[in-house]
Amino acid sequence: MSVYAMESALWKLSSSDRELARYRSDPDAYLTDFALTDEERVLLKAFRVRQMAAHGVNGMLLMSAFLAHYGHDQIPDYLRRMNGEE
Amino acid sequence: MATIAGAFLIPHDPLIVAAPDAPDAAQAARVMAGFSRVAARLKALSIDTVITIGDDHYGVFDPHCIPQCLIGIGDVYGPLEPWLGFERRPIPNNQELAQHILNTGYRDGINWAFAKSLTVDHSAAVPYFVCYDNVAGVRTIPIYLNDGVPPVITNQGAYAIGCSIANAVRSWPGDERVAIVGTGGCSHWVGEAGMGNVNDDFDHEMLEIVRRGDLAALMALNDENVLASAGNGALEFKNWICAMAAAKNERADIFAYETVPAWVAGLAFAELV
Repeated sequence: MSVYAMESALWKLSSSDRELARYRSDPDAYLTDFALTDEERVLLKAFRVRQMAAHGVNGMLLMSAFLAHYGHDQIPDYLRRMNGEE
Repeated sequence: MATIAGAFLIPHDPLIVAAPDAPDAAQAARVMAGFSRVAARLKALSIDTVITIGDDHYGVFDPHCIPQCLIGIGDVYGPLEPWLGFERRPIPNNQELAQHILNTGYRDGINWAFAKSLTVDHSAAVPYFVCYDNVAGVRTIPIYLNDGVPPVITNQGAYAIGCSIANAVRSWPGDERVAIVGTGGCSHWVGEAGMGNVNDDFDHEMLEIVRRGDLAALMALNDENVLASAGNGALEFKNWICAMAAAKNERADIFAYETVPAWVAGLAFAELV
């Protein structure tokens, strides 16, 4: 399990417009930059925040990355997902 | 000799500026009045330097390096987050005093990280843009404690940093009038299940500790208990420990507290006296 690699992938896309664009255009290619398991790649591609949190990923970072990707008005959707209401 | 002429605890909730209309208008106005009161006190106390004690939310520092404590000694910019609604711009820093705090800390055994160039997130930017920016001539020294990325700083570590800041200010030959501002705190869950809840019983217990200036009681708080009762954001009580250790106050005047679920936090304002 490589929670640190997951956090690196999320931090980069949340802090760089260029990296976010790479993730959006081809997430598989973006995620090859990081030492991830197949399961972790699935979680990151689908942005399964609740499962990533259970995996040990920092909640602050999860929310920042989610909002960077989906938009900063999407806190309610983030909370639905985090609270298992997907 | 420089003096610590004032000390405050104020919120840094980013939604205050990013979603100003989310709560009831009267409640939002009371929160903004809290910032205005602090700005007025900074003016009345002739403060020229504010030492802002905040914490990163895993945006400033990346997984390659998470400092337990960091001081901005050089150029400062903010805010990091464009969605706060402020155009990023330089924030004036008292670089000379910041360098002295760093050097004093080394002598005091503080393992400071330091930034020659720093873009601050909302924990320093909201206080600056909403409060200090209204006070002519004020410079701010940003300090970050790691409250948000486990393993977080210990209560003792936050205390030692506050004591060292006080040593530094009091040994600085300049004539600065300094305010210490601890930011954030109270119950809130950031990015975690439970986000949006506020535990106002916890907040009132914390504020009663602060009101009576009981730093020992604040330092006796257990991280796991705080996390369970009040969320990961409540670990920002370590910013309060640092501020109180620097201020060496006897008590506090809690002049505003609001439970604001729409801003996902309890928000408190205090002057340490």
